[in-house]
Amino acid sequence: MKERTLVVFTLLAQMAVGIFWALGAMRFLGTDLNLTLGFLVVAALMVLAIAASFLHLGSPLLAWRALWNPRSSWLSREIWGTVLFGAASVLYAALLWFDRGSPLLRAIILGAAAVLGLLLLLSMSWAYRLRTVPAWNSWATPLSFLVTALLLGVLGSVVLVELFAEPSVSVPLRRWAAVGAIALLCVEFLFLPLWLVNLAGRGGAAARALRRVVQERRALFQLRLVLMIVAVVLAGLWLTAWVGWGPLLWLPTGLVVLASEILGRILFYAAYTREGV
Amino acid sequence: MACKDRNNLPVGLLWRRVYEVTGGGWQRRGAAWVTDVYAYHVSLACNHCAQPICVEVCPAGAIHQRDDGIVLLDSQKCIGCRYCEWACPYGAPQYDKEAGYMTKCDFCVELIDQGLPPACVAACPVRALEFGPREELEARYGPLEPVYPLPENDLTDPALVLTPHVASTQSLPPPPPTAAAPVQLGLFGRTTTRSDLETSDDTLYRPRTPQKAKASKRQGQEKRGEVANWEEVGGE
Repeated sequence: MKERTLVVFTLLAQMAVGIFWALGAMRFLGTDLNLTLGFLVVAALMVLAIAASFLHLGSPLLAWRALWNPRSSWLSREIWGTVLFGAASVLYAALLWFDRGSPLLRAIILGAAAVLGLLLLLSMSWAYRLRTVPAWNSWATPLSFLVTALLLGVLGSVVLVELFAEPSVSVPLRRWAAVGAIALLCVEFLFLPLWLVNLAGRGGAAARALRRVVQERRALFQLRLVLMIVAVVLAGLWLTAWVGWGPLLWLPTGLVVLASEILGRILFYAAYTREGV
Repeated sequence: MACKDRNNLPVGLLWRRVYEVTGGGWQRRGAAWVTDVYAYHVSLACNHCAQPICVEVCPAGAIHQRDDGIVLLDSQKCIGCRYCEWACPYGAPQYDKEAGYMTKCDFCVELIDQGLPPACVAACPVRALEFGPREELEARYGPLEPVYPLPENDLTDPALVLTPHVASTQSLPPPPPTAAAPVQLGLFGRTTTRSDLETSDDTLYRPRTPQKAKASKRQGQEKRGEVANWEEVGGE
């Protein structure tokens, strides 16, 4: 698959934005957890994402030129968003790690990075909303990117905090994370069939996209659905199970969701069929 | 071949391509089965669209449009992200894997600037290709009515006109028997006329009034789109 580096780039960037939002929300709510390592992981994810984005270029030495045309190109805007959010997240992690900067300065950078993350998600979504590619040119693209970022962000942040933070995550926070993950998975369950029905109703290239997803890649599609169900069951188990299971269940839940999102992104690129020849 | 020769294109790159569209099959007509197979060709290169989506989406600003409408790609500025290839509904931008950048038809702009025709136009042995100001061509041939597999015009407003092949617009070939001639169908000697066929559910040929012909033209193409295949032919 030609788009494998784009699968890596988009998922890493969305995961980084989502985790940054989740950790930022914890910080904003005044948690006493030490989140420095979590923010460092976000910065590392962005560095990896940018590195992956270079791999699909035919002339990577000219990559800087991708910043040249933000006036009309959503792809150029996406690259601007990637660079700016990446720089802000690295700066914020560095301030925490080296213990520099006043609380006000840190709060300003945290807020600015959160906004830049949103702009990155929006520009990334609209970069795929090409009017000649009906499967991508719909409301489903920004919605799915946003849900992916939130889902990976909620689960990724809890996994990171469970692994690195001292003291451990509080029980209410875990429960809210589990509820959030289940709600987001339900949203995915809802809009996935709606997207497919929408494709079926539009004919032409959209119908070809539908065939590519549900017929030609039937096994991947079915596996994606199964993994989503497993993720809901795991998150639900944590809600009802003994509190002590928490650290044991979050990691598998996070991994199952990550695998499901990877499959979802592969299917997203598989749906590429453009109008015309 | 003239295009490849003029631009020294490597194997795999075809700035001008000829698509062979084929389709049809066996259709039941009463008790008989007849064929409605068809084939036609569409010769296509960059259409130097009035709303060129390649110019719009290129993040590196490597593609620009001249004042006369010709869309040019500066390979030295191209980063090889292939985004224009995704976007263009005519498959005009093509990736040179060896070089690591995109290439596309430049309308033989050096020849045009010298008052000469592009290589493809000059070489076409049957004078099927012409070039000139869009207004003049549209005045002569009418505005573009896209035939399968071309996309709708409003996506990019291509600077293209064409005279559609009869097979691309006629939804079905004309019936072989005359209206007056009775047609013998089946093994049991039942005689039917063409009017019977035209009202029968399994009728293959339906007459079209002039008013309906245009409306059904696109529908016919879409119908063909479901069964038609197209592929590039020749070129290398």
